[in-house]
Amino acid sequence: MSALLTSLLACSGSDTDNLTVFAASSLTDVLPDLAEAFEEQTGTTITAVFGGSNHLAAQLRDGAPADTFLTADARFLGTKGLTGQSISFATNHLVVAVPSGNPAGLASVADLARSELRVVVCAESVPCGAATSHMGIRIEADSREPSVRAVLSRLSLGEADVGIVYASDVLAVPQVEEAWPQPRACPCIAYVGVAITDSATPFIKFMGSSAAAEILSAHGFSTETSG
Amino acid sequence: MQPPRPILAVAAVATLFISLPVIGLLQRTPWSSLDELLSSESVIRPLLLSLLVSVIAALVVIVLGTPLAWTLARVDMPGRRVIRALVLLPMVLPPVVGGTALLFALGRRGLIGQWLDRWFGLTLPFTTLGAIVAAVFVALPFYVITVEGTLESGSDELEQMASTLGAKPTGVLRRITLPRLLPAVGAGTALAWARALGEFGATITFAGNLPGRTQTLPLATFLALESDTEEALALSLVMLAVSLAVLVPMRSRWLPGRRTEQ
Amino acid sequence: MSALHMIGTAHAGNLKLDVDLSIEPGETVALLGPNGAGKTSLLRIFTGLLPLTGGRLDLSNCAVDVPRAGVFVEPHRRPIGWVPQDRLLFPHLTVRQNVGFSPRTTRKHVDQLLEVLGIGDLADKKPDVCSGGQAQRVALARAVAANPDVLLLDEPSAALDIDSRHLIGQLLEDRGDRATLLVTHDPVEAATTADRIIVLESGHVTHSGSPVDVRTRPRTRYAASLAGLNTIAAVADNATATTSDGALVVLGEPATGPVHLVVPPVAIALHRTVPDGSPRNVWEATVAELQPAFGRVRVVLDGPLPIVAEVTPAAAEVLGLVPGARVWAAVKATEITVHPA
Repeated sequence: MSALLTSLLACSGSDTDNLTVFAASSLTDVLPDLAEAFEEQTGTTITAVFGGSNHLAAQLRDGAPADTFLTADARFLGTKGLTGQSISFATNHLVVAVPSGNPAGLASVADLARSELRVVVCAESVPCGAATSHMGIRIEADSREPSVRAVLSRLSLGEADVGIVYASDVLAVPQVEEAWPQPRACPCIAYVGVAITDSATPFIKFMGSSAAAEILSAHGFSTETSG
Repeated sequence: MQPPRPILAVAAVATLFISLPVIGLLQRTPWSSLDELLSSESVIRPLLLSLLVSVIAALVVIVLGTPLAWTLARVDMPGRRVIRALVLLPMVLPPVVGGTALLFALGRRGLIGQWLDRWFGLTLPFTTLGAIVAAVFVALPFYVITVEGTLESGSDELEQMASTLGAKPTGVLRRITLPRLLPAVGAGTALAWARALGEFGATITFAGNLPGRTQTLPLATFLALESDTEEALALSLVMLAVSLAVLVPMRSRWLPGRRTEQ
Repeated sequence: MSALHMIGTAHAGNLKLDVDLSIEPGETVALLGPNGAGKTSLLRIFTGLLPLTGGRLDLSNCAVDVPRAGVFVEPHRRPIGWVPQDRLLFPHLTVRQNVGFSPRTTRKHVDQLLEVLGIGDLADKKPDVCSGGQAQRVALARAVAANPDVLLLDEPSAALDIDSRHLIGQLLEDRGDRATLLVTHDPVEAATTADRIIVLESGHVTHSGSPVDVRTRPRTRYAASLAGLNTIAAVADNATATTSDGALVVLGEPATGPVHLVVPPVAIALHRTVPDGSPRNVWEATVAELQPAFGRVRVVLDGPLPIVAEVTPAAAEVLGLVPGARVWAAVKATEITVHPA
């Protein structure tokens, strides 16, 4: 309760016992584990707010009180005020994913052109959408969802036959799997974390540590140490 | 009699509160480039789709909603309260929840949806029809409460009176029931249409988002807001203009709760 | 042949109606009764809006409601005109359209009625601009225009202006074979307009006769109060009865238990001094109020037995009756009618 109260007060949240983290929605499953490790180390707790990176950037521009921003697209760092210490802590690759069991029986990129398939991808204004369009695959999308989580939910509900999501997502959601073994190549997502207030600096440092890298790899992200 | 000052003052504040966002919108509108923006495909396409979806949804609402309103107002049956509560549920439910519920019911793997898919090859998500279904779901309650209100306040005394004067049942329907209902039907339709036009949460969750097929004006505005502010403003302006064009001429006496004078 | 004939039963909410009555063509009958007696329900039975549960109803010699035989004629096929208490004018139609609503009427008849009732200049207006009296006239015109064999009026004169009463009265006079049943709580209206009075109490007919009959020989407390007679609650013990105020009244007929004593005001004689004569009930009273009426004076008396007496104006003068005056009142035991309560 007090955490909520302090995060509602003045933008210069210099509360060292709690940090407010704005994070790209693709980090939804990994951030709790990272927060736990960070708290064990420093005693500082994390309050996380997830969303599409573009959306969060817009909120920060309008003055939302956050201590740090973990974005899936470095473009958004052009936003005013995001000039503190930053670190590139992970990358995420896009994969072609299907509901578990591969009911539509996709085997290669060429199959994506099949007209009867329900194909769902991210909208271009979100980072995963921008990256998808650079993949160079011919896609006839049936829907462009406003977040990668929405794409995932379409797949896990079986409403879509195929979608393009992050490698980390495939690990996080049991009802979704990689359509076929795919190389981890770019275009990919490069995550950047930036400190907005000074109290967030220790957290940014932590994100570059090997402890963090281990947790990230376990969730399907690629870090410098894992390649 | 002069209305008391405090009441006028509070009313002024309330009016200001409602109009400030509209003023904010108008103030940021790029009036010089408006011409160009309004004629671009990224504005015309969602506008036309929105008009199509909302008008068809309104028609479906009239067809489904009128007998429903009549039954709720005039037929004394057990469980009437429960049915009325169900009908009004979409008004209270967050639209995204509504859309998710629709998915579980009518999606490709949904309760009924799976049979639609298996037997007729009909899927609703990702189609314009799905956007219409989502719009009908959220707009129906608005129509039903408006029309039910009128039917209930009249009860059927006038119809009884007409029959004692010698009018046959079809004559009673034609000369008494329907004419008295018409203003409420008009008002209910306008409200339902306005709701259908502005629908976002259920549409994006159930029907998805694809320009030309399911990307209605509200969806286009939401996405444009993050990438192209000028376009978002133009889209917002279009929605504002269309809504005002319908709501302003509507006579307040037709709104639910007001006595229908003729 | 009767215009309306009913021997039947019906249920209206908590009330059970058990009625035997008939109305002849051309007759005007007044239906009187206390609130909740079932008067409006009876009208609904005649119009067909409330079905019988037993017995039968015939209109113009045709069976319209016979539950046992499965006969039920819908309201729109009955030759009935109904003017309900709240009139139920159609708000979305003009006065002319209202009056001409029935498929059974003609334009000519409508024009005639508008003329006769003095509502011609309202013809193209909507009912919401009509005054109470005008609305009543419109409702009546509408019912009459349908050429009914039986006209049912529910409290037609309640709160009406003189003009409206007059015009309505005229129209009702000019009736031909049409039978009229008027529901009213005003005994004066009933007496002056009706050929016959039917008194309905708790779903049963308690009186059916001419206005004079009902007034002079009331059989129930309600009927007595209609007739302006004194009714006093008391507990009888053979030859006497004790009122709730403790006064002892000598009765002309023996009775026991709770009773209503009916005493006609004219039967009470007033004296300046203690009378010495045959009346068994004599007491001293104080004049509370004098109510002059046509050819007589009603004297409201306070005392051991609160009661209303009636004397001629000359007698009142001779006796020096003024509020506060002390008088002696006397009434014969035989003039007191006893009704079991």
